[in-house]
Amino acid sequence: MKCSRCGVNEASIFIKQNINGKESEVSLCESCAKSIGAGGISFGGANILPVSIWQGSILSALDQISKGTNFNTGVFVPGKAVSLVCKDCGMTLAEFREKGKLGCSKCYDAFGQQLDQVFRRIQSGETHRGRRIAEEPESIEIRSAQEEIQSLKRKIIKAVENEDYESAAKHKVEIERISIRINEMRESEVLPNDDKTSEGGSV
Amino acid sequence: MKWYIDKGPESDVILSSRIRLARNLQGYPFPNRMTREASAKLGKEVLNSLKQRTDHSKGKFRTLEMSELGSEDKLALVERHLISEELTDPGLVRYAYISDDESVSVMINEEDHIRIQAMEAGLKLEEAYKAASDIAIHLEKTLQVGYSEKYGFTTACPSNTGTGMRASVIMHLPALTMTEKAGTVVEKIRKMGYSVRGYYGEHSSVQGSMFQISNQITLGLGEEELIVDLKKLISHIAEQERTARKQLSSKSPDLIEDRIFRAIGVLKYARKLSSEETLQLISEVRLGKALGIIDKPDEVNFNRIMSSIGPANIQKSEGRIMEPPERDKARALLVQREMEGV
Repeated sequence: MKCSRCGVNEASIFIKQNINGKESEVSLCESCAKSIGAGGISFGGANILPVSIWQGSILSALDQISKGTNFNTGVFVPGKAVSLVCKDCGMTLAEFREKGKLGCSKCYDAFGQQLDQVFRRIQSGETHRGRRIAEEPESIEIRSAQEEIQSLKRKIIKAVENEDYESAAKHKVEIERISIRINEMRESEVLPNDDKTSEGGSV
Repeated sequence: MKWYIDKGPESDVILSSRIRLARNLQGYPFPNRMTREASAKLGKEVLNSLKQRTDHSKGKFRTLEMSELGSEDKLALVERHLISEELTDPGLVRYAYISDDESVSVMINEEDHIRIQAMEAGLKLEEAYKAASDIAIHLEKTLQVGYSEKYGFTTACPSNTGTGMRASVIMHLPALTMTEKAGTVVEKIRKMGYSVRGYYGEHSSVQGSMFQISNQITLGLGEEELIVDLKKLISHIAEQERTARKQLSSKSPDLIEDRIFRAIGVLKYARKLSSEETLQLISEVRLGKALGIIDKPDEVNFNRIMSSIGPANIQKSEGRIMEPPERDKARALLVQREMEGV
């Protein structure tokens, strides 16, 4: 069996874990196990590896942890015990759970799966739907027009499923009409600013 | 003119609107894991970018390095909602960048690297959002701002991730309080996923029937939607308050008049006033004005009193450190001046 970290060497260390009665196994080659052990940090007595190594089984264990369920693991790693950790700032999952605060912007990559769970509980989903970086804010009219288009697209899919091509064609025309309206709204919003910048040089 | 002296739309019930946006820079740990050196470097970087802005609609800005201020000066800024208490912690190099009219302030190295806030009198969330997002967009274009395609703007606390936006409104709800309906209203607001706090923000209790209501969700909804939803809620509560006011004045006009004139009497003639008592009395006189029972003082006077009666602001205007009894005397004098002619 190949090592689940490097995928090159033969695995010689097999780690079993038991989470609430669910057993799973991860296999590592000796050098991977050592390198993890050397850089690792202990997590409340349990031994857990960085996210990049064991995408599957360990993360499911951490899911259980963040849900607050009983975590009873029989993981064995040679050397020091390790934890899920942000490679940029060194924040561990344990610290995050203790403080409730993240260490840096990269923690969002390191603890993505755990964060999704947090977000599902405390936010309105786990995906950003607001203004994107460096983007000018859209007016509420533009936003609602965009949402109208999304809903029409869903209607088209349904209509096609029901072989109601006439309605689908109508929705398509409606989408085109709204798209033109959005462009007009955008142009009328942009114009005053453009005026300012073009006059800027001469004033 | 300072923004808080101004009178805004729906000011019979809504005192002020505020938008706060949180942003962080890539390549630096968040302030909770930052060294002092890194905080100084980041501070310079952010200030440099802010000073390059060409939009001067909010007037000039002043830069304050927190460690250079005396503790009273810092507290005075906290009382005027310009900075948070967290910004006064000496652990890191922290800055406040504040506009002339004090309607916009940028905190550097608070819980997040950058916290932009814009305030307006009355119900003006869109205007406040524009002022705050103008600065945010400038920073996003000139600095390496932390952003994830999936999660949006990254923040130290997951309760701010996404838009990084907290929109809040301070409402004056004396009639709902007097008729003991405020408790039920607050409970409902909380159940709908909004937070309710006192006039002085986080950790503060409700004084003078002033309630600060803000969104808790920052991820999964857009800024505009969040503002529209909050506005809907606020208008609904405002209508409830107006109805309760009408009922109060028609059911027990004598009781209400008595309370209002007693409050005026104390504000005009008391020789000592605590900030808590002043807020309570101002709340009652303000109600009297809204009900048309009295025509003076003007809302401008109320706003000026409220922005200057905090312990630190009293000491600042007197230019010295004072014990509480002395402050109460100074506060009573200040209020008397504002109540002249009432």
